[in-house]
Amino acid sequence: MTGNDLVCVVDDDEMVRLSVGLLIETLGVQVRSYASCLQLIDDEASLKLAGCLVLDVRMPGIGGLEMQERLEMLRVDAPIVFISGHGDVPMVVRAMRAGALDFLQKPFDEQLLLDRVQQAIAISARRRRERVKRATIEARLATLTPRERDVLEGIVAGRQNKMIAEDLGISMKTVEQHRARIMEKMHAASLAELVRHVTELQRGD
Amino acid sequence: MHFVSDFASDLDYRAVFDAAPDPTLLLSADGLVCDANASALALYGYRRDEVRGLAAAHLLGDDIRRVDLIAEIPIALATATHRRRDGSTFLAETTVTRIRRPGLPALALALVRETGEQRCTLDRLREAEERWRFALEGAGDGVWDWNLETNEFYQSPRWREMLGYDGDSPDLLWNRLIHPDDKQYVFGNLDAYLRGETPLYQSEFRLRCADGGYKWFAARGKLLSRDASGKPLRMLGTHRDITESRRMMEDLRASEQRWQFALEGHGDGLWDWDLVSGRLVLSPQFKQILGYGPNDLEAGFAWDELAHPDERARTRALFDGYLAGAGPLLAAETRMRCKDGSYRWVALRGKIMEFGSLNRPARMIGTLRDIDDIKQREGRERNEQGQLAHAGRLITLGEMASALAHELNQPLTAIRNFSALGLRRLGDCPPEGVKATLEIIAEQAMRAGEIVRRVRSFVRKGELSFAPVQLNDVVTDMCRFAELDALAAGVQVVRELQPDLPPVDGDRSSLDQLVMNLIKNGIEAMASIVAERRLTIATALRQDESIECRVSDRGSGVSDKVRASLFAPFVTTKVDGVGLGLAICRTIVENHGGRLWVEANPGGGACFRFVVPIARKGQHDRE
Repeated sequence: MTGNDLVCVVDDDEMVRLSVGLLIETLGVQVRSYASCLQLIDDEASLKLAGCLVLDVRMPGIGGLEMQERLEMLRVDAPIVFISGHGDVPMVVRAMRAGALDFLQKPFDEQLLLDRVQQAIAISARRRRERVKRATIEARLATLTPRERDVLEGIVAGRQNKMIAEDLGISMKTVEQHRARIMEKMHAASLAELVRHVTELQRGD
Repeated sequence: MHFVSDFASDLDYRAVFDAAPDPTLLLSADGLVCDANASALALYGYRRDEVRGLAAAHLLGDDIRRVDLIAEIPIALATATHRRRDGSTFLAETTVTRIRRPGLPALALALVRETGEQRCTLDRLREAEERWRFALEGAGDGVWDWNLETNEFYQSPRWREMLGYDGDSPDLLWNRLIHPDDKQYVFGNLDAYLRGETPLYQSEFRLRCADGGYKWFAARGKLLSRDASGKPLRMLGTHRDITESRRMMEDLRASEQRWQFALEGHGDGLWDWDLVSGRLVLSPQFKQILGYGPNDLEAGFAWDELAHPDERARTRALFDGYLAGAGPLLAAETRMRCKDGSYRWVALRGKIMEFGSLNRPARMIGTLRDIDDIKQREGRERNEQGQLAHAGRLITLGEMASALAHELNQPLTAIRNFSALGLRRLGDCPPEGVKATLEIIAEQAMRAGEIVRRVRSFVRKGELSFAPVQLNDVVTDMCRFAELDALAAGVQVVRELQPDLPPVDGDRSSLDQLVMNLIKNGIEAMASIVAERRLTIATALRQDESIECRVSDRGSGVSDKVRASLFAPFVTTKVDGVGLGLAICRTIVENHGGRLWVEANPGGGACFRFVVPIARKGQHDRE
């Protein structure tokens, strides 16, 4: 937990909103409250920063479940914890399938909510770290010349220098030079690390 | 006269004169009595010296003044009234004969013969005849006396008057005045009577009047005499002018026909019930409605045979009530037996047309209308309405609990959260009792939440049964139910349904209730607007495998302030509203995994929209 973590709470009932917000603040995180999903969507900056979203299912305007769909399109990292006075089984199933972290029936055990919020923050922190990492690798990949990319593809495909040289119609020595440049540009300490970075990136796509 | 000279003297002449047994008077040419014989003096009651010089008319009647007393031919005067000296009268005939005397003025000899008893009888007869003729003519009938042998036809003045002929028109023969079309019929009647086949000659026919037009007459007549061979000689009878009554009859018949035509043209059957004899006459249409042929139900049956056993007593009571004066018109709806044994609903209406002795109803006439289709439809609709209302009550109870549960959960959540927060803020060394108290509050909030949940799941399990439902069917049915409300409110309901929608997974009763609530809501929203009142209900398939339904009205719309709490229970903008309708609607939609919200209608007013997911395989595996 860091003081920079942000939790967004949406509930149309002011007292619920306030109490949930105050509870979550005891975790030492920042809380922003909204009376409707539309208000939250308008606050794009907070959405990007948030580590957890606590949404009521039933609200005027857009409900929690629909919000979930929109957030997916907005590529928001923060996991969602639904709170509802009205959750029936299909509603819960739908929310969980769409990737909700949990679905809590009102009134709920506040400790359970706080646990889920913490988990969500951890998950979103990890996602964020991963995203930063991917972004770094992508940035490094972007510095490679077209020829270096060709060589990298051969390396990742597990081909030896000699074969790569034949494939590309260049000398072994040139391949070795490219390889050294690639290791340098990609900040890879070993061949294994280089391959892992690139394959993780590919899997992420 | 030469024999007078044969008398030796006047004395001789007087002796003869006096001896004559018949009353005889000697008159001068200017009509004065010169002498009277003893018989005449006795008859008239005068002495000889008194009678001389009197005007003959004084004794013999005025007729004597008009004759030439000394004409060549003897004159016979008809019976006249003669007067005695004491003023009494008698009837007598007089014969006047001229007596010529050479060198002297001619005299006349008047021979008087009393007509006596015989004449009196004739007089009485004539008087009697006058009386009956008077009686008949007084009653307006014309009298005729027809000699069939000579074809002489005597008519009374009244007879002539009826036909417009004046007293002098000659040769009025009734059988020449008959309308050509009536001749055959009338002479047929007459011949039948003359042959003795009918006791009385009776006929109705038209006679030509003086002005060339025809009038209707009713004739009655009787034969007075036949000759020895039985040939009819003389007939006496009356003619009565029936033109007016016939016209009235025809008017009546025409109006009755019109009336009957009007009723039967409308498809109504007619009935005519003689309450005295119990005879019931039914029109062909009546029989046809119940499937009977024209020859069925002809005679000897009663209402009870047609009435449904269950309705018999009630219908009879209605008739009895009406006949006892309960109302201006009999009106009954009842079932009647058809020819095939089935029963049809009919409406009977009737009225007393005639009253009999003691002013008791004697005849009723009425109509019968086939209302079977109407009744059946009414029954169906009542049944459906009943079911809907019943379902509505159940749903309302369940959904109310559901809606309330949600609203209760909000404050319970707040209670739970704030008490938990309190506990946390107390830190590690809380004051005695405060921690425990807050813990109890937190626990009780959870307990209350659990009760609410249990109520909801109990209510829902009992009532909802999910199955594939065509939302368009729901909309169509509910529009039909709301038709009357819409009509009463002057609202036009327009459906814009996308055809061939896939079914949604839903509870039909709940969805009925949902759509009905939204329709009624829309109708009520337009109650006070002046502009066109149109409610549009549209359905459409959305890309995310759900079906959307829009109910748009053109009312005053929903303000932002109201919209925030529009769906909350017990919030209402209506004066007499409870504020549950939309809360229930939302609960229903959410029970179907859908969403209900409201937007402003682009054309003014509010647009309620809900989406529910379409049915998917395996969706029924819940709970």
